[in-house]
Amino acid sequence: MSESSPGGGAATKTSDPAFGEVPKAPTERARSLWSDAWRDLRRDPVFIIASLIVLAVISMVLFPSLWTSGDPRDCDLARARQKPSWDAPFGFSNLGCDYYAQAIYGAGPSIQVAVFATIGIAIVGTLFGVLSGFYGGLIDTVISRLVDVVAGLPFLLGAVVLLALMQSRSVWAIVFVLIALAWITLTRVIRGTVMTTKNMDYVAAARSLGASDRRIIFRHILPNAMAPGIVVLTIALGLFVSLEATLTFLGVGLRAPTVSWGVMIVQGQSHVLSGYPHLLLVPCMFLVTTVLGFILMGDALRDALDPKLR
Amino acid sequence: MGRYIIRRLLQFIPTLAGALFLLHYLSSLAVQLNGNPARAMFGDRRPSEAMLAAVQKLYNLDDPCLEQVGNPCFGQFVNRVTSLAQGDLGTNFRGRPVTEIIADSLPLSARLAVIALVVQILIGITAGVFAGLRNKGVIDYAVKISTVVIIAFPVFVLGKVIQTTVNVPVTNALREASWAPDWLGTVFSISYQANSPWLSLLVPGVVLGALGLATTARLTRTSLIENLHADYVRTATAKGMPRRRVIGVHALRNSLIPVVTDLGLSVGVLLSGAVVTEAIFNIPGVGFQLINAIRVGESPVIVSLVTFFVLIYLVVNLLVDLLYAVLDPRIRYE
Amino acid sequence: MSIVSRMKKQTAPSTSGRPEADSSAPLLEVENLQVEFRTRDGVAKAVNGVTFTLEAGRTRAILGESGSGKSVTAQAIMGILDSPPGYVTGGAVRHRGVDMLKLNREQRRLMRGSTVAMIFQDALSALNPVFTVGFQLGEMFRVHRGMSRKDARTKAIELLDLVRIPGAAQRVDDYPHQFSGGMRQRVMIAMALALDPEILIADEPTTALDVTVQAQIMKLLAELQQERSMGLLLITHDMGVVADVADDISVMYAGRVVEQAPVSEIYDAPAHPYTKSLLESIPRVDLRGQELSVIKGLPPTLTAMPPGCSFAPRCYMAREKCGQEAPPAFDVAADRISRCHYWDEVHPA
Repeated sequence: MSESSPGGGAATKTSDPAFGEVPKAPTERARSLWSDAWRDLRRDPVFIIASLIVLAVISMVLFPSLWTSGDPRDCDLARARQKPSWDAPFGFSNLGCDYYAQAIYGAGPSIQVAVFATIGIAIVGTLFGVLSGFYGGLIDTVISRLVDVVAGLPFLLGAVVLLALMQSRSVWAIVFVLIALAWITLTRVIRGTVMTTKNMDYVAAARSLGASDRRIIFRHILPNAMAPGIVVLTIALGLFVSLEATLTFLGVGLRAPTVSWGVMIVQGQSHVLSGYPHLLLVPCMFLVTTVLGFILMGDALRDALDPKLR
Repeated sequence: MGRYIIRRLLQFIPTLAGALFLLHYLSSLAVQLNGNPARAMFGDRRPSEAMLAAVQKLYNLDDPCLEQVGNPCFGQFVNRVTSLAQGDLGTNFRGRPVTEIIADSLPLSARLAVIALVVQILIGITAGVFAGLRNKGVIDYAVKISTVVIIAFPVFVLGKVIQTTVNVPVTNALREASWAPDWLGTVFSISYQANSPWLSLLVPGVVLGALGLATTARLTRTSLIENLHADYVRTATAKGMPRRRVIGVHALRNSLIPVVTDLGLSVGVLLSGAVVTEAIFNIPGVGFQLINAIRVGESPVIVSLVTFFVLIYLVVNLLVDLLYAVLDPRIRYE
Repeated sequence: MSIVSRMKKQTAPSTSGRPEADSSAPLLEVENLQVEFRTRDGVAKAVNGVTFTLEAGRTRAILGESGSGKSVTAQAIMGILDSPPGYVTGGAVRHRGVDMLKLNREQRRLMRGSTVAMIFQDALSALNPVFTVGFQLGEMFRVHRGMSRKDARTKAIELLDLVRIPGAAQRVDDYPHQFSGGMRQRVMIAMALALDPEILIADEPTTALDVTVQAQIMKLLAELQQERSMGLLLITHDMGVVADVADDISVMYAGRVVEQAPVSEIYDAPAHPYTKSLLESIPRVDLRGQELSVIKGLPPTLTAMPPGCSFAPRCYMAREKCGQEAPPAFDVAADRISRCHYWDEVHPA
């Protein structure tokens, strides 16, 4: 009751001669949601820290030479397992490669996998979610069943089986497998939002004005699904970085000579007992900090974008 | 209640069939795309054509449908499901039945899972309740931060880091210390020890439990905070119920419903995590066998073991769904 | 079990330091009650100087729009304000001369349910969905009276009978969602009456119900109140309900009581333009065909109150003074007050 504003009822709107205004409602709402969120985020220390981490990692991928002048493939067995020094802050690997340079360049494959897989699930998940939620009926049944079936496979195990059988150890193979198993999360979220939005009064109003399905989807429904979608995708980025490393650890992911954090961890672990724990811990630190950055950012976005928490 | 159970059981069948088919289809597709995995069992040696053919026949890899990309190989699927129904999961490359491998290694994995679940439930729910009661307080922030950090650790990193920074130094220190009881050394041993099947699983179990613990704690927290503002909680206060009862009986009982559902889902994470944990701590459980199969390229064994995991996962989720109905009467009488 | 022993302990009332009740004092006396909500957007005075008394066997209606502070008043009396953000910042709530606001937490808790009980608007959300109604009713006896589970169940059945729920002995094991709206509200009433409270607060008890059921519930409430000679505090926005059952009325607007009077007088001759407008906005058969009058505008935001009279921006007779000076409580008659500078112009007598 307290929420009702002048002319706020659906009945008054449809009888209002000036209701050409109505289709604007969601855009305005979306805009104020985003600007409110942005106002909150700018003041949120967690978000700021997370953004800095993410920016740092992205710059490592795009411009590794900003961070190091070393070459990760310039290895000299004579320097094998040398302890950290001023020139090489993390020392040298088992094969005498500059460990700091490797850690910087190692961001590349990890982030590539995560970014491509995220773009993939963004496309597949949005498409299926909108089809399923907007059109309902048979399409919805088929997609929902498919989602249930894929959800029946524990994620990591499914990925292990697929990669083990594919025998390909490329970035693309991993990206493909991650997309094949992870699209369901976003699909579920988008489907839910679409179904709620579809029944809103302003969508009904737009439809009664003769707006096409395409216009309704792009103008009214997708903007509403954006917020929860972005939260899911940000967190997915972090989880994909973590999964790539896990798959590598299990022997079905990337392999040397590719330099990635996962590969470094796998190689570093065998030198822990002989007194070189940093060979394991350094790539672990990079990996965990990156994952943490994405997850914190997703969390902060969720808090800022969830109108229920306002 | 009866109708609900029957409906859930009926839903279970297509989900199970679907998951098994998906697994089958994807693995067939992988073979179709990549060529014959039978070669892999010979490693670097080049097998003679006859040997290869024999092996292919043994593992049904000679089916022509495996050469047509995209062919779902229904015939093979039916064979596979039929033998699965008879409890036959095939053999490994040395002729040992996979069911036997599972029977040998399952008790270890089960023990590990029990420890992990206990850690996850006890610590997760307790932390979540305290954080929820002191919303925005010190404990709340502490729980929030530590759960995010735990989530950011991939299991294998967590396992490796704990092994490196806790087990290794403690073991070294204990070697010097004559006062330390033997069991202490066992708890912090670097890998599993067959002669103490519970103690040496403690650290791996905690590592595995930490994975789901964070989710449980966060879910308990949000759910409790939500329920503390529910109308029926206000009613309970208005009835003159002591605060302990308002929270412990009225709010908590409702808050745990989504937590239990999530525990069911987390079994999937637990199974995957068990593979990693067993690899790190050398625990010869089912996950360890899976890693071995990956290492030697025994793809039929990989598929069989994962099929087994999927079966467990789906059955556990079915049980959790039934438990859900016990906890929430609104579902029961739908 | 441990729960049982814990409950036994709780049933021993901790009367130490509790002031003696004075049976000649009024049943309920609210004096200058102040409640604040401290929110992100500022401090809102949700209740500002509410004063009234309630005697046994009488019914006082608190009338107002949503946001007027009527429910907050009820929650403050009951001691179930959500704090944060709500805080009682001043005034007194006396039961038989004892200020309940000064009691400690445990003493206050023991009064809830046994001395003051409350009925909520939406029984579906106000009842716990995962416990049977028998459990929720029986809980009153188990916690407050230390009864056994079995005795409490018998009591629960009696209560369901009392509020005329057919087949009480079977329905006692049903869950709230298995009842119809009206039956659920009866369960709510049974729960409030369980321990024979002296004061019953009903917060919009019929708003969520169908019109036909509303009348039945109000009738039941009125009967039970007479039988037990409870003081009934009826929170509502429905002028129609008030006319039938209330003895006295307090009209609230933006956290203040703007008019307070016996029911017959207020209907015949309102002394505040807000009350008058409310009365005129009730559809009446004899005025059919004429345009129904509505109060223009919206109530003020509590964090940004206008200076002067809070109703002035919407008032049909507002003058310059109204925008500058907050009206005090004028005594219109012996037991009547009005917060309007020009009450004598509204009031025809």
